[in-house]
Amino acid sequence: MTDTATLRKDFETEAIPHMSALYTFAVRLTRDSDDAADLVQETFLKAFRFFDKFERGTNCKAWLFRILKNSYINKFRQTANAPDTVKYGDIEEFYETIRDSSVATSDLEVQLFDQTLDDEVSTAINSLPIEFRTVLVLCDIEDFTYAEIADYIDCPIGTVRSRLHRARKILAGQLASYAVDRGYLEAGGTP
Amino acid sequence: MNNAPQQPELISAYLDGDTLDASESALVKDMLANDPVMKREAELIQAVRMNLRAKRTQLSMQIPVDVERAIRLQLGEEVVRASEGEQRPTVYQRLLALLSRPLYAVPSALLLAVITTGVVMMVNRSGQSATSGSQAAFVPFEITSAAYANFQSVVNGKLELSLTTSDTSDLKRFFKKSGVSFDVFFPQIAADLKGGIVSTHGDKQYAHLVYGAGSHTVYLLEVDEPSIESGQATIADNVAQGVEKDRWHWEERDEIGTLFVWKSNTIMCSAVSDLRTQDFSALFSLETL
Repeated sequence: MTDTATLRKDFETEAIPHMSALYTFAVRLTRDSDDAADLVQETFLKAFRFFDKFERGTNCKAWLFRILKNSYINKFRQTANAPDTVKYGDIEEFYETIRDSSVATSDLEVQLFDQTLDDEVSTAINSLPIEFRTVLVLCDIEDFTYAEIADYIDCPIGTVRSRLHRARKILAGQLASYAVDRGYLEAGGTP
Repeated sequence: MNNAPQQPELISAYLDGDTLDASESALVKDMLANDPVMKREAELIQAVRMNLRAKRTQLSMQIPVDVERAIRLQLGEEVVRASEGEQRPTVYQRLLALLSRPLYAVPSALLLAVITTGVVMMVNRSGQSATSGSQAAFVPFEITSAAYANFQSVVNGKLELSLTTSDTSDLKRFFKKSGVSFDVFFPQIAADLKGGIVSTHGDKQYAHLVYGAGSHTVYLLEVDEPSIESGQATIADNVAQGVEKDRWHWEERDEIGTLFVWKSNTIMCSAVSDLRTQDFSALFSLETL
């Protein structure tokens, strides 16, 4: 078997299974299916070209996500119409306003959140600023460890903890507002 | 109740069972046991966590069939291209085969001796002229060795930027004004451009770029083809073969860094970073290559 044939076989086993996960993440990142498709295409082509440099036994999915992130940065860093214009700092104030708000009991929350539609959750995730959206999706959807997320965003673990916690808190606020809109919860948190 | 400062951000990590040490876990347990606000916050976070995890499948998308097909098609073309590269003998291999013929054996041995002598003289000459550069003391001008050495000098602070800017237009003007005779190539790279350096070897000026990628450094040396053809710069055989055969060459040297060499039109680019190969390669966009 030639080197290329071996490489292709390994790539098929290690990388290809993550195609949909990368596409899902790319859509969350860009919020545009065409941009997401371009990103995933570039990611896989680049990954294949450099696959002989991938250290076997390490996390291929995390490696692919890093390539995708870098492709995303390259694609959008110099464009004025970057897909996310909400800055990390802008959300701080909002976070503080919801931090101390009263919330219903845990059982009720679980029930209310269970009532949320997939589309509502998806919309709520997409509305998060990119710094929060990234850690939330990597942790809760893609099952990355904190260390893998820290590596991905190139920040200390403490930053991952903080952003993830805030992302979940903001998401909870969003889901609660959907529940209010649909009459499951009265404004102010009273069922 | 414990008077330690509350750290609600630890709650998520506690619920995820990730990264907390014993004292942090104890702190969270104390918060949950004694602080009703923190307890409520934990319940809220747990509800969101559970909800997201329960909806993982629904929140995940299948890649569209046409996108998957396009990717597989591209990969197929890559495989064909790579296979052709494997089968096509390199210039070096063709030359070796030619010189191995009995008819050429003795003349080629003589030729090799002449070439070797020439290369040694050229490297020595380059070494002397390198130190005459106004910017820094560069090592003898074998491209990859120079790239490694300059990278270390940049990291150690011994080689400073001639111009600090992230503006490629400013750098282009600066390189031109400083006598760099070729169009400097700025790769698409997921790193922050820090600035550039100009060095002088003999009567020729060369461009160097420095980038920052998080806590890592990326250094890039650019040498134009005429400099290699004229012998002002040399490149190791294995590197030249790698670039010709695979379009690029990668190598890691312990305690120094990772070298990435590729050719962009008529510019030989040698980049060195303290990143491992798989992370270093991930920085570059396809347009670069």
